[in-house]
Amino acid sequence: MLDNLIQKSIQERLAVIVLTVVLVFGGLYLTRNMAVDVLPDVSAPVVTVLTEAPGMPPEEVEQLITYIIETNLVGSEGVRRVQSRSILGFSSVQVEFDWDISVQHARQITTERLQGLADQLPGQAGSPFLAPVTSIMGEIMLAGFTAEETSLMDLRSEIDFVVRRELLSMPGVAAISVYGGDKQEFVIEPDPVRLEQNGIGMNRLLETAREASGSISGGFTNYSGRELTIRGFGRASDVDQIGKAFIKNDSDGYPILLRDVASVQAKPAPAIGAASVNAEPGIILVISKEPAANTIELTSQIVNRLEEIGATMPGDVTIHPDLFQQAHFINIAINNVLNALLISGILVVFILFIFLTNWRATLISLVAIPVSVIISVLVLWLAGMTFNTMTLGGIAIAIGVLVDDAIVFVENVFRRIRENRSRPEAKRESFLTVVSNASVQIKNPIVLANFTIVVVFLPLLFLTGLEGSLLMPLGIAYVTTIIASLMVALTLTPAMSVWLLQRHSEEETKSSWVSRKLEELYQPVLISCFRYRYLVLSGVVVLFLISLMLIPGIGRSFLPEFNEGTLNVGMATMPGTSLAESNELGYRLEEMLLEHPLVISTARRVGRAEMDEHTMGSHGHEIEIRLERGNYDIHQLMDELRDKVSVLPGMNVSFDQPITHRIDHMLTGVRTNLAVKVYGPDRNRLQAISHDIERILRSQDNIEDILTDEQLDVPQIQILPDREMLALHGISIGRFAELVETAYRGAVADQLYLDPAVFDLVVRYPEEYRSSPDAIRRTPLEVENGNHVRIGDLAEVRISYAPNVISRENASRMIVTQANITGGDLSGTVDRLRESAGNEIDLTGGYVLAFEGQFEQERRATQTILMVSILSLILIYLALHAVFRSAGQAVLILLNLPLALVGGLFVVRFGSGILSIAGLIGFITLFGIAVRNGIILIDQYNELIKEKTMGVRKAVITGSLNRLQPIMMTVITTALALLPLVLTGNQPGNEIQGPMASVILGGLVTATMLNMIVVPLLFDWYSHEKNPADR
Amino acid sequence: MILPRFISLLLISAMAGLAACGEHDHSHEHDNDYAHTHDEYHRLTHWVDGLELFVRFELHENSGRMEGELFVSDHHQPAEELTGEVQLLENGTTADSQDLISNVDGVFPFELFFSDSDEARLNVTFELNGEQFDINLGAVDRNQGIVQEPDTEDLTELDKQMQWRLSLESGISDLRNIPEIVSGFGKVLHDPGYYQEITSPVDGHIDSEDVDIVPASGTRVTSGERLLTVSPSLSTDNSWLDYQIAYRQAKEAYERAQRLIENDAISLPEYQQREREYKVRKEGIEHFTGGNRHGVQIQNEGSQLFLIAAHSGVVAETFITSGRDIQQGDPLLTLFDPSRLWIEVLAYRDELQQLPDITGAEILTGRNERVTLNNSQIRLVSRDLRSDPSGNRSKIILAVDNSDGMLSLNQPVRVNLKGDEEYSVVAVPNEAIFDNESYKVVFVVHSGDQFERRMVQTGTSYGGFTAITSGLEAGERIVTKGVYPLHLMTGNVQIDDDHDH
Repeated sequence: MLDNLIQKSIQERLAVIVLTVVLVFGGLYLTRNMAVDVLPDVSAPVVTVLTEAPGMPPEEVEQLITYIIETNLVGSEGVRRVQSRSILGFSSVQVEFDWDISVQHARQITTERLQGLADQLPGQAGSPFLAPVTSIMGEIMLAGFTAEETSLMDLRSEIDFVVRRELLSMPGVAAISVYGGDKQEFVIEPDPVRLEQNGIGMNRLLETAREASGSISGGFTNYSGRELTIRGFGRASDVDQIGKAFIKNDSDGYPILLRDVASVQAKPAPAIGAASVNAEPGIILVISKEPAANTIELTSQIVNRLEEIGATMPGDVTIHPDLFQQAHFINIAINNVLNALLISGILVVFILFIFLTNWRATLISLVAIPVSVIISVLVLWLAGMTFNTMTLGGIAIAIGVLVDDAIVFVENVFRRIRENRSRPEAKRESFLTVVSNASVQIKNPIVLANFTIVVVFLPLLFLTGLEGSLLMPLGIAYVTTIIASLMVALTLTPAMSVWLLQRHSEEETKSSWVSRKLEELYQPVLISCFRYRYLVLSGVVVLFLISLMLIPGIGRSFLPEFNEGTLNVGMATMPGTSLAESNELGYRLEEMLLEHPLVISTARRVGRAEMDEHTMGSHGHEIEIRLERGNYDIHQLMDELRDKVSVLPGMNVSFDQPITHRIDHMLTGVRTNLAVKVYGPDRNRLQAISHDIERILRSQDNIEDILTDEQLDVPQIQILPDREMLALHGISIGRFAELVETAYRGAVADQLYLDPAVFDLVVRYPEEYRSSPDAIRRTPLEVENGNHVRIGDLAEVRISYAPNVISRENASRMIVTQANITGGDLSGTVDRLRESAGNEIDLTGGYVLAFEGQFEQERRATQTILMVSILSLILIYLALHAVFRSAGQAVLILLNLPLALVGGLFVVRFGSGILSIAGLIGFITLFGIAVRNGIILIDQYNELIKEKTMGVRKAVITGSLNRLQPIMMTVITTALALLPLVLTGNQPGNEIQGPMASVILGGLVTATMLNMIVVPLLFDWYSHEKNPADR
Repeated sequence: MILPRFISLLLISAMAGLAACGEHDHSHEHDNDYAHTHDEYHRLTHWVDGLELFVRFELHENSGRMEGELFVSDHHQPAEELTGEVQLLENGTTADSQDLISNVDGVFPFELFFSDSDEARLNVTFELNGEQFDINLGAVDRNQGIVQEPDTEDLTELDKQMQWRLSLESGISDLRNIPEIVSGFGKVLHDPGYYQEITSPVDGHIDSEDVDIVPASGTRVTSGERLLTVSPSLSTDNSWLDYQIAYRQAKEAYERAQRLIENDAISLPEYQQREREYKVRKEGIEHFTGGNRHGVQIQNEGSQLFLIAAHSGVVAETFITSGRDIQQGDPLLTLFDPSRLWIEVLAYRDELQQLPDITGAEILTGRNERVTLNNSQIRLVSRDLRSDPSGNRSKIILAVDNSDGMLSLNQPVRVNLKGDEEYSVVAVPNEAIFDNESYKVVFVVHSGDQFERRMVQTGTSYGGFTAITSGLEAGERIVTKGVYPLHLMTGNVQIDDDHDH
């Protein structure tokens, strides 16, 4: 079938070339708008259900909201885990679905389960809603607003009702959270004394507030042949109009107005978060995109839109659109990758020309690269994937193989043409036959080699979960490019060879100077090695063993560090700190950061925004720092900044990079390989059990990094009603609760529409009544007979401690103790721990222990990968066996694998010292290339032996010399293609390709050197052992 | 089998890496490096007006070298544009001196050398904002330095520059009068002792044309001013006309009796009878016109009676309508004295028990309007005699001097009642106290960068100040702004990274 394909391609070469041109231009056109992202979409099928309950304490949020939502969701179709956090006034329930369930399906399941749930929740809670669909990398930019004169309240209203709406209407924008500014509301602050003096109850007041504004509709009438609408204008538009609302007449018959007993003002609502830009109070918009949107394009559109909106805003308002933009990093990263690819391309051309000394042959090899890449990109585009560092990485590392396919092919055609010309005129074949035969002949090793490479990558495609989502695109991009390359080698390259090399066949051809020199160098070395075979092979074994000994000294990380040009600073002060105090500390921190010459801007968010997934309290800050571009060590800079701010009292500051930070968050569930979770009803008991667990863990020698998730308590003012006193004053608990809630939290009486804004009209006691526990005790509340009684007379008011956040999992309170099992048998250790815990810890009363963590995943992943690896090996072996018809030769080729390992390990150990997943993929790629070279060598030996013109030793030496040029070309071009990636490995965008390229480069050097020595020696040895007569 | 094993090994490593890579450096606890308790520095601090001069230096015994920094704060912020010198004076003569050159605002490094003597005085002369200063910072012993380590366990240092950054401010705790205060609310009433009800002296009616001249409620009237005109009835019993006729008849009968008695035309008892009748009628008529029985003087003008104000006052209410028939004794209007009022106050009984005597009051008439009355301007009329319907509050009545007219009748007011136990106590601004629920803390300043966390007992708060009943002496310098960061720094606070997505 493949032979036919090659024949057809040669026959219909014009059609192939035209088709290729169409494919290239069509591909370029179609993929021009392909979404560009930092990383592949790694959003797990997770749905977050958020419920606002302003002012509700965490424990009540947990019991009255979170619990109800959780119990409705646990056990739903495909639900893997339900986690929740309940904080002051906010419930966040995260539902994790199985990875095979789509986000849309997951949202549908969740929505169905939530239907009708709102009725079961307390009145002050809003309806539960689903957080928008965004991936963890969805936060594409932060835009800030500051003003010199415009108040933060007016600015916030402008942003809420104009800017936010405008931006949300843009296609691709998924969500916008607004931090900071003062959210305006109209507040009626009654004077309880005046209410009492005038005999006005809270209900009457609320009723007045509700009736202070209203639309008047009188239907319509027919007049003078026309239909006229009768309409009144009763909607209040300012505080004065509300203040004039009539309450009742006094004893003299004079009207008492709302303003007589209450102050009515437009005021900021109690804040749950704040923001600042460059240490100035401001407003920050966190803009998230929809998963499919093109980050770069959308960012540019948003920036333009902000500019347009800015022109309509007051003159003193400054918009800061570039506080953080993922697009900055993506642009730089993609440019760096493309630059590296361009430089690689130029180097490849140079090397091809040096070896082939023929521009036509060079062109054929060179054309194969962009064509294969474009075909691969087209396939990725069709599969709905994005352009990101992972897919680019896959393509980048495949380039070596692309060049390889073309080189091996062209070189073979060249050689055949030379051989053909060296024959007598009569025995010469036609040019087309030569090319066709050469193509068919080289097809097998190329297909086999590519098949091997694809099979080596198989384990990567079997990864599931997050690792799968992250690495699969790289694997797919790599495999797609390899297959595209194979297709090009089987169709375009023969067609172009016929077209371009026809004239060449008539020219005199001889090997290039470089090739000749290489052969002159190689031949004596190879012959010497035959002489000292045992010594050489022993040396290789020793080298391999030494390289294995390097493994324990290599550190591990998941992804290499990005160099993003932006920093993410997390700052936390003591939980329970007021927003005002916390904000002050935040300003100081920002000022200190801004003093560093490399810091361009800071954007700080504290607390949380309404309807936002973050469950940070007012003690938690997040600062995005934009840095000057330059050649500096990001870690050193972080250390400098860390030192600088360490003198600030009362805060814990951590430095990170935004994208890395988000990836970390994505990976953070449990960060260690062992997590002991305790589930149960009582928080204190849970804490006690966790401490017991911690004690047991500490008693084990092979367990480190033990950390129990302490839940800090924060002070709260508790009001404990005295039921007898309430009865004495004729007031029910319900009414008391209503009055207390209205007094402090406030009751929304109505909403005022001031086009385009809508503001709440809230009735709430003045600040002085809630400024201290004593003020609360002294707050008068209306009782049955219209009199007022202090809260302190009806209830005990005290300060007590309660959790600021309550974490739950699968509808039960939970505390985690994390630890790392550092040595020995994971499962054995866990079994031992289970037994100790069972004997020593009392779990009566509904407490449950669960041993989870990465050890489970590791075990599962190890099993999967081991199985798939064995399968891959068997497949490769079978394929090799099928082609070479020799078990021994198949094994000989597989012996290349350890040879490839040596250089890679040396590079990792003496380079960064860290093996990340990128380096790991480098090794996998290296194995593919090493096996491939082995195949090409042994295939050549077999061919020569088959011709029976020479003995085995001679065939081995001749075959090795024959294959020296293509192998060296492949190796040198691959090496040079990777060199720019290695040299610019610390540049943004190359963080993943850099380590990968280093490993491949290192491995390539040793693998090639050893391959060219060890394989001939072993083949010679093996052939003699098998058939001594061949000597 | 090497390949799968190795791939497995590497991928296992990746998994472990995966486990490890999520680990931020969350483990580092709240960094307290800046919070030393003892070091090798010597300190001198001098406060004058809004200036603070703080010197922190090291002594190098062998060389007699003194190396340190002078921190100058002007109203708690680094002093800018300061010129001068720091001197080491031995026996009144300058052993060494150095110009003040700042490396950052407010910080002046210096290096001085002792010469012969072991004792010297550190002096700073400088010009700031056009004003000259010559400040003696204190004596320094060449060998001992300044041993000024405060005797306390809870001492913390905070770098001066960080203090400036945190806008930390300090002040002296001094003695103040902090009275006991009980607040309540109530209403302004008239003082019954200065209240007059004007009633009709006769039966009659008010002509419609006379209604217009009746003073409206709230009108101030002076003594002798005509208030209103009454037209007496002609025919009713006990009418003004009957009185007049009866008086005239009695008068004529008496005058005739006088003439007749001279001629012995009538007997003496008969004369006396006429005389008695006349006096009764006269008293009767004078009772209407000249007396004050109805709160007014009455002028008789033919068919009408003019009612004239006997005292100055303000018309509280009028009960007059046009053409109304009135009976003798019917109320016409009320007059009160606006400078003499009562305030009826409702205050919580338990709080009032803390206030044996009321010596003053602060009357809050609006959100930002208040009238302060001292002991001489108020008089307790009654207290604790009545309760409000809630049972928790007592009524107190105060007679107040309202000469300045700040209060109005029927005005609802809030009242802060002051007790008489105004005494001089150590008082600090409310912001200087950190309330840690079970105890309260102030931060005592020992030197320019040394702070002591000290527990105190507090008493009443008034006027933005709180009385400290124990734990602090008058004259001690305390932090008045920036208390919370100091609490975070000193209160054994555990801060974890609680960031969440």
